[in-house]
Amino acid sequence: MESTGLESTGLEFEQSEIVQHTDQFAIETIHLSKIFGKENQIRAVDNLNLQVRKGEVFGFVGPNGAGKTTTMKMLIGLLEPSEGSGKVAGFDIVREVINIRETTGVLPEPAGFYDNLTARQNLRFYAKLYNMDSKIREQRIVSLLETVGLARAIDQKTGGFSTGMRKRFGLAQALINEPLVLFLDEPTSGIDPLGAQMMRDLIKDLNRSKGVTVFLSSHSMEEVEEICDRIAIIARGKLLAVGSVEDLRDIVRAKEGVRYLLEVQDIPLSEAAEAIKNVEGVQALEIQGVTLYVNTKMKLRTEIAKAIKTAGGTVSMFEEEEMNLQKLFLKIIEGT
Amino acid sequence: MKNNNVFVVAQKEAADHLQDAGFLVLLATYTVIVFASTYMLGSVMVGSMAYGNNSVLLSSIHVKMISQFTPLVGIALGFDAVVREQKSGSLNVLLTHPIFRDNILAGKLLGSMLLIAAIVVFSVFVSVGTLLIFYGVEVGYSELIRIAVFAILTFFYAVTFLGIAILISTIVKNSTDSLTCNIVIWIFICILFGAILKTVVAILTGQASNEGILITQLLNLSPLHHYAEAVTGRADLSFMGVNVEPIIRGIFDTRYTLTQCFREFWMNIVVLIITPIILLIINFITFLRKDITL
Repeated sequence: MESTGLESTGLEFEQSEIVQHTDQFAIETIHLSKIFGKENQIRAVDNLNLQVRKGEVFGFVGPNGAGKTTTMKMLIGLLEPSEGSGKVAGFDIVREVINIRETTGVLPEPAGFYDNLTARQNLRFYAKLYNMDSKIREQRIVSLLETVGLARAIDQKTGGFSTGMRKRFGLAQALINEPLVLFLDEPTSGIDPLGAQMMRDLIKDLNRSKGVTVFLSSHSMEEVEEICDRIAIIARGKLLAVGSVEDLRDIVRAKEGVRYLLEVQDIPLSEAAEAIKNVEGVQALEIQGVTLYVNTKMKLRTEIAKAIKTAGGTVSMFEEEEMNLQKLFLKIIEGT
Repeated sequence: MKNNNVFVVAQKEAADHLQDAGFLVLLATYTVIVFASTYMLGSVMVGSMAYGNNSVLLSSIHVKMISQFTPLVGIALGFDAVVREQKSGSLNVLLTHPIFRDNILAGKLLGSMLLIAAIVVFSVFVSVGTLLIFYGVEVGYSELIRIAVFAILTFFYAVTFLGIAILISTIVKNSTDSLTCNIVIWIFICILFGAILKTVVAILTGQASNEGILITQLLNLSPLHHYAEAVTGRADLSFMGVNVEPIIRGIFDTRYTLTQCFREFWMNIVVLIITPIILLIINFITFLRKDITL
């Protein structure tokens, strides 16, 4: 198998396990690739193996040009894969595109609407594509616009909507068919913090109350960390890591080691550092003001505390440096 | 396949145009042109015997004006049909719903073609109505049949320009470029083609005749030529075009039966019907192959 960069993250086992599709996942891809160009071939998505569980909020992050949008386009049938296969809601992404679109909702980026039409008229047009009963259709339009906080704007032309309103309206159009899987591409880009938080709350609520599986592509690590159960990191078309934030921390720890912050009483910091230096697995020490920073290969909390105690010191503060998703992301994509 | 989605798109497309101020202004202008040209020509025809025993009603329909301005209706309906939606991102959203690409294009074409049909019928009513109301000319069954054939040929002629407009709209990057290209094509085909053709042929052959083989062959490239010949018998209706007095004055020549006219002009009629179909096929191929999402 061609190197996917996963070897360094310790996820090669999970990858090689995937051999055939099952129906237990909301989204599943097997060796999915997209190659652009004939002579100078660019592998926009390279051998992607992904499994998104039913009912989870799955984050899909990566730098610009990583292949996020191309992957999403393949999953909703807008692009045909060059190699590999995929299933969404149990439907094949090449042969059953219409079934996929009937059971999924998509908020693409950029999302444009018919600005000469009102919110109601826009949604009515999309709803007609699903052959809905007119009574149900009209009720759903009102209910959706209430859900996304646009009930008052129901008869306003979407051309006059602010960016935040457009994003929320985009979510409403994605929900018109009561989807099982929701694809969201940068759902909060360009909107103010309050609007972004409202959007996140909406997504979380949809996931919790209706069990909708959410596939979220975003550049906002804060957002992904807040609402996603699991996260996949992709760069240059290759999947680098996948798991919960804690799983990603373990991956980075395995690669980079652990960094502790200590404050010590009863003995000078230099003496404490001298004591810790001899603990097996300690890689580097640094004193900054009253804090001692210790880099280790693995978790050595007990050993460090013991060494300080032996030297006559008392540990008044002992924390592992917390890495948020932003830092984890940077560590994981480093060098790709 | 959800074929009813074609009608959903067609309905929206037609409604969009009918609510668009620009299109309504164009439609009003077109109506005024058809009315004014029929009124003016009618006053000449009613007062003279210029066309001998030919129908006054048919002779008074200003085919030249209609041939030059009807393409603008096709262009107005099609020049931004694809590029506008692509630019605004609405195509991005539409394609995420259960509709095939070809259904989107088919819907757009159907909506626009229905409008063209309505406009052509409307313009025929305006022409005939003007002559009935202002000059009291009589309308016979034979004339009505010929007017119906004229309306059908005008429809196909306009759809040819709709096909060109949508094709350009699929290829170019923005609506302005599309409009510019379409206007240039319209000026070339409907206004200048005959004059340019005569000049080019004169330079190449040294002959200024209107009846040379080369000029006749090259005229076949223009949809206006086929329309003009089928309806009026004239080879060309463009500005300073190739003007030769015809023996049979197209389907409007009541000295000949409609069957005789069809026999005489079958080639022009076939080209008028085939050209939009070919253009529509090219449109489908282009639209399906292009990455139209943003």
